[in-house]
Amino acid sequence: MKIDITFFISVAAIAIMLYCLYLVVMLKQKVPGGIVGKQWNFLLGLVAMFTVGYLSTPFFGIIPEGVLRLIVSGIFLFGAIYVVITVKLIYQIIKELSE
Amino acid sequence: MDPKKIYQKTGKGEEELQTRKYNVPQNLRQVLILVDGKSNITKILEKAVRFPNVDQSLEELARQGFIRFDETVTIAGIKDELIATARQTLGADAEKVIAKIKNAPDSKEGLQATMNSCKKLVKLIIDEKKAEELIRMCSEIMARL
Repeated sequence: MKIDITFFISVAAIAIMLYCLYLVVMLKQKVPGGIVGKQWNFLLGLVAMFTVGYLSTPFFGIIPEGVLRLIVSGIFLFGAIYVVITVKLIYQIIKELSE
Repeated sequence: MDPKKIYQKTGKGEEELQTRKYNVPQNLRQVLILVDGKSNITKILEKAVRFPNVDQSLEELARQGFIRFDETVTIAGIKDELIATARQTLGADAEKVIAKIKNAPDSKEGLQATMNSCKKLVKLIIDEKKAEELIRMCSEIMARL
């Protein structure tokens, strides 16, 4: 494992993602159901998946290129899904509050 | 006439009991004595079981300004019923809604606005079906105001 600027950025990203996972789990207890609660379960799953993906980043140097491409494309795909869910959730909240 | 509403004596009503200034007929006077600002109409009817036409007497006393509805007490009672309904519908998740009802203004409009806000809260973070059920039951309670 090469210790360079990329390594430190990866460690920072993992730390932030772990914090994000903590937040999502803690907030889930305050949002048991409803429109937000249902979407929150998806977000929780995605954040857990991202955390696993991010944990693999320090090992990118030793991971075969094919697997690496798969991981990166997976992170992009689920990142896009995450954004869609978040945007739709914000839209539903605004719609509900403006009724 | 809503049996859960509570009448209280006005200043004129108190004055009549003390001075007989307005020459209120005996049957109305007997009913006026029973109005204590705590008993709702059902209780007054129970107490006045031997008096005839008590509901009409109450209306007449109100019309002549000897008694009036105690709106504050009524709203407090309505709030208690709304809180009980929220507990029944939402169970352990009712605490946020109960806090909102407790802090709601003591007016029909204020309480109505609070209940609309509660519906949105429940729909967003608790359960969409329960939100509809809660607002349906609360609307029935609020209709008595």
